[in-house]
Amino acid sequence: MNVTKIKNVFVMPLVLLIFVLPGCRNITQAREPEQEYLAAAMGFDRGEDDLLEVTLEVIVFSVGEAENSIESRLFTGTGHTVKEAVGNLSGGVAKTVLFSHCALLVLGENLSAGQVDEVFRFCTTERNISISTVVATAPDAGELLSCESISTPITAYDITGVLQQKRRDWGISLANRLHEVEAGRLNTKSFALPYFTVEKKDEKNSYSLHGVRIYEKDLPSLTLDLTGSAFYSLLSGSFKSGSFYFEADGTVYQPEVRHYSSKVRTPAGTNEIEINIRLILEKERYSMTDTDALKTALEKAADDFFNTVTAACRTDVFNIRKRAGLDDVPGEFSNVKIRFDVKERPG
Amino acid sequence: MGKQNTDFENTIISDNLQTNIDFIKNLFKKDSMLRVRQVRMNTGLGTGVDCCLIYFDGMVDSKLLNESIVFPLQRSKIVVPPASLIDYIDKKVLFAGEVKRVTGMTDILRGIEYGDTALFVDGYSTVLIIDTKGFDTRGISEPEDERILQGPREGFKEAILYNTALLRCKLQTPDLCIEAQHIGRRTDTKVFICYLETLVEPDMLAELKARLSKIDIDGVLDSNYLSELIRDHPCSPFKTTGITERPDIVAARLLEGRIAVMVDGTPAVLTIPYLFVENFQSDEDYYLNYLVSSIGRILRFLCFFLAISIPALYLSLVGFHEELLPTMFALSVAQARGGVPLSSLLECVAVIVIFEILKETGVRMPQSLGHALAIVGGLIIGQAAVDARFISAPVLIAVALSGVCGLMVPRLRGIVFYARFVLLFWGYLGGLFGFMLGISALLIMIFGLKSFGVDCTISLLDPSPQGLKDILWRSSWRKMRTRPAFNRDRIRAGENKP
Repeated sequence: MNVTKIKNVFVMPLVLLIFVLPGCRNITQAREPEQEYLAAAMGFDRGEDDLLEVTLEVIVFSVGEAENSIESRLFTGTGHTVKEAVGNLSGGVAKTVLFSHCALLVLGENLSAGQVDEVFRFCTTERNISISTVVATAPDAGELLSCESISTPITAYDITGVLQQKRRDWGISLANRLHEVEAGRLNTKSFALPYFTVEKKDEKNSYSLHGVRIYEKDLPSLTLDLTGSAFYSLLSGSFKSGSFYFEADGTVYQPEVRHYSSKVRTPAGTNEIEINIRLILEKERYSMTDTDALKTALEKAADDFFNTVTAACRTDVFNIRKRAGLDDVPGEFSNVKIRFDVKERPG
Repeated sequence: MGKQNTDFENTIISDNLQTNIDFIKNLFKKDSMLRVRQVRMNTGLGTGVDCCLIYFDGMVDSKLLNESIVFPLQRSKIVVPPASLIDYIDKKVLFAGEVKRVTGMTDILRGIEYGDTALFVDGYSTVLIIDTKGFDTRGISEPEDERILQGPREGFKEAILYNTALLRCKLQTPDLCIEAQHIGRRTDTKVFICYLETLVEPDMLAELKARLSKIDIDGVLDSNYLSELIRDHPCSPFKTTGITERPDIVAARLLEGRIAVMVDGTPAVLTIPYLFVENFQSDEDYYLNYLVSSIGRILRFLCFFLAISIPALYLSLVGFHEELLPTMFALSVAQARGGVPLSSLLECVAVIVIFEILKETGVRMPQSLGHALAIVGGLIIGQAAVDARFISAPVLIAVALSGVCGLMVPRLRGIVFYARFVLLFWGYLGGLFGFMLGISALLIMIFGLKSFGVDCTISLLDPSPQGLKDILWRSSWRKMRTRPAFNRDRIRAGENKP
C-alpha cells in the first residue's frame, strides 16, 4: 500500500476544498442559534379568497433570563402556497425560521384537498421538517395554536403532551407522524388524525381532544369520539397499551391493556379476512373476572364499530389489505371477522 | 571528539611530562577546576619517576583517587626496567576498576572531562585513563510524567552510565549491545545505541547510525535534540520516535526488536521505530490485568477522538445541522447563546486558548499552587465568564470535556491541540461535511507516517489476529505470542502454556 501516493493524491484536493467550502454557507450571514426562531408548530387553514393561511408558533426567549423565560409567539401569513405564506408572515419575523424542530402540524378542517396536498408537499420536500413531527387536525388550526397552554409556554408541546396522555388513558394511538400520514396518503389514500376542539372558558380559549378524524383523499370523511378512537386504534393495528372505555349491551367496560398485538390473515380457501387481536389485561386494574364476557362484548362492539366505519368510508381506512399482504389482490373484502383473544396477567 | 576541529585533535602526546602538563594547562587556562597533581614514584634505585595526575575537581571521587591512585603510586617501589613501567603501574600499582591506555590527546580530554583521571608518566607517551568518576547524580526516582499504579517505580537519571546499568539489570543477556557515539561539537555528548542483536533489523540500525552520523550541532543537551534531527517527518506534528524515562519500557521495546538511544545528561531515552498505537499504550497496561488495561486502552482511543472532535462537532451541529440536535438541547443552546457577544467560532477559540493557558500554567506551577489554580481557573473564571455572558455554557462544557479527554492521551497532547483547531475551522466552514474532510485528512496523515522505514500504522495496514492483539485492546500474555509486524523474528513466546 503506497500511502505516500495516496497522501499526494488526496491531501491536496482536500486542502483546496477548504477554499470552496464557504459556498456551503453564507458567511456574511453567519448562522448562530440565537439568531433564529425555532418553529414549534405550524397551523394551516383556508383563509380569505381561498388562500392558504399559515399560522406559525415560534419559540422566543429573553436574554439574561432564567430557563422559564421561554415563551411562544404566533405569526400568520397567507399565500397560494405554504412557501409564499411563510414569506408573508405578519408581525415582523426578524429572524430566520428553523423548521427542523417543528413538533406539530395542524390541519384546519376547511382546507381543500389541494391545499392539504400542498401542505404535505411543503412539509416533506421543501423544508427540513422532521418526519416524526406529529400531525393533528382542528376546526381552526390558528385558533388551536392560539390557545393558552396548560403545562408549558409552548402550545405545540402542550398538545403533543396531551396526545401522549390520551394514549395512556384511552389507548388512542394513531399513525399520525408526518411520515406515517404521508405513507397512508400514498398507500390507502386515507389517514387518521387526532381531532382537537376549542372552547372559550373565562375569556380564554382552551382546547381538548375530541377524538379522531379520518381523512380520505385529503378530505375529512368521518369524526370519531374518544371511545371510537380507541377502537380505531385497536382495529387499525396502531394501539399500544392503556385503558379504554366502551359500552356493549348497556354495560360499561374499562379494561386496562398491558400488551396488545394484532394480526390480519386470510384463511385458505375462503374469501374471509380475520383480524385477530390479542389483549393481555392488567388483572389488578381490571375489575371484571369474566374475561369471556369481556371478549364477547369486545367482539360485538368492535364488529359494530367496524361496520359503521366501513359504511361511512370508501377507502381501506384500517389498512387491512397491506396488513394481510393482499396489496395486489383486487376486489372488495366484505367478509371480515374480528376475533379477540383476551387474557389476564397479574402486574 | 565531536566535529569541532581544534588544534589538539592531532596532537601527539610527548614523552616529556612537563610538555604534556603545559599543553593541557594551556588548553584549560581559563578553567579553574582543572587539577594537576604531581607525584614522584620511588624506583628503589635512588631516583624516582615523576608522574602527574590530571583531573577535574568535583567530577572525581576524591577518596578513590587518594586511596587507589595517589597512595599506591607514592608507596610503590619499582625495580623493573623502565620499558614496562606503564604496564607495571597498570597491572600492579593502581587499584582502580577500569584503566585504559591511550596515546591520543582527544581520548585524554574526553576522559578527564567525564570524571576520569589521566596519569602521565615522565618519559612515556602512553597515558593511563583511570575510572574515578565521582560526581553526584540525582537518585533513582519514578518519572513524574510516567507514574503508574502498579509495576516498577524506577526511572532513568541524567548519568548515562547508571542508565545503562539499569537497562542491563532488566536485560541480562549478552545479546544486549550498547554502542557508544559522541555527538555535539562542543558538548561531545555520549550517545548510546542499545539493541538486542538477534532481534534488531539491521537496515533500521544502519539507517539510525547514518542519521546520527550526519548530525552536526554545537551541543546535545536532551534526547529531543536528536529526536528532531533524526525523525522521518521533520514538519509533522506526529511523533515518530518514542520517548520514555522508564528502564522497563526501554527493555520491553528492545525485546520487541526496537532500538533505544540514550543521551548523556538526560533521563529521556528514545525508542525507534515508534508506532502510532504506542500513543495509546500506557506503561502499566502490561502490569495490570489485561481486562482492566483493555478498558483503559479503548477509552484512550475514544478520548482521542472526542478530544479533537467535540468542539468541531458542536460548531458543525449548531451552525449547520441544528435539526440533528434534540429539540430541548437546541433550545438550551440558543438560550445560552443569547447575549454572548462572540460568534460560536470565536467563543470556542477563546475558551480553548484559555484552557490551554490554564493547563500550561498548572504544569509549570508548584503542585500546591497548581490545585489552587485549577480551582480558580476552572471553576471561578469559568462560572464568572458564563454569568457575565462572555461565553456560553455549552461551549464551556464542550471545550472542557474535550480538554479532559485530551488528558487521557498525554503522548498526543500536541496533536490534540492542533487537530482540535483544524477540525474546528473545517467544521465551522463546512459543517459535518467539513468535519469529515478534516478527519479524512488526519487519517491520511496518520496512515502516511513512517518511522525509520516502518509504517507507523503497520499493524493496521497488515492486520492479522496476532497483530491486533495489542492494538485496540491488550490481550492476555498467553495470546500475545508474536512481536510487532516490523520484526524479523516475530515469535515472542512458545506454544506451551502453563
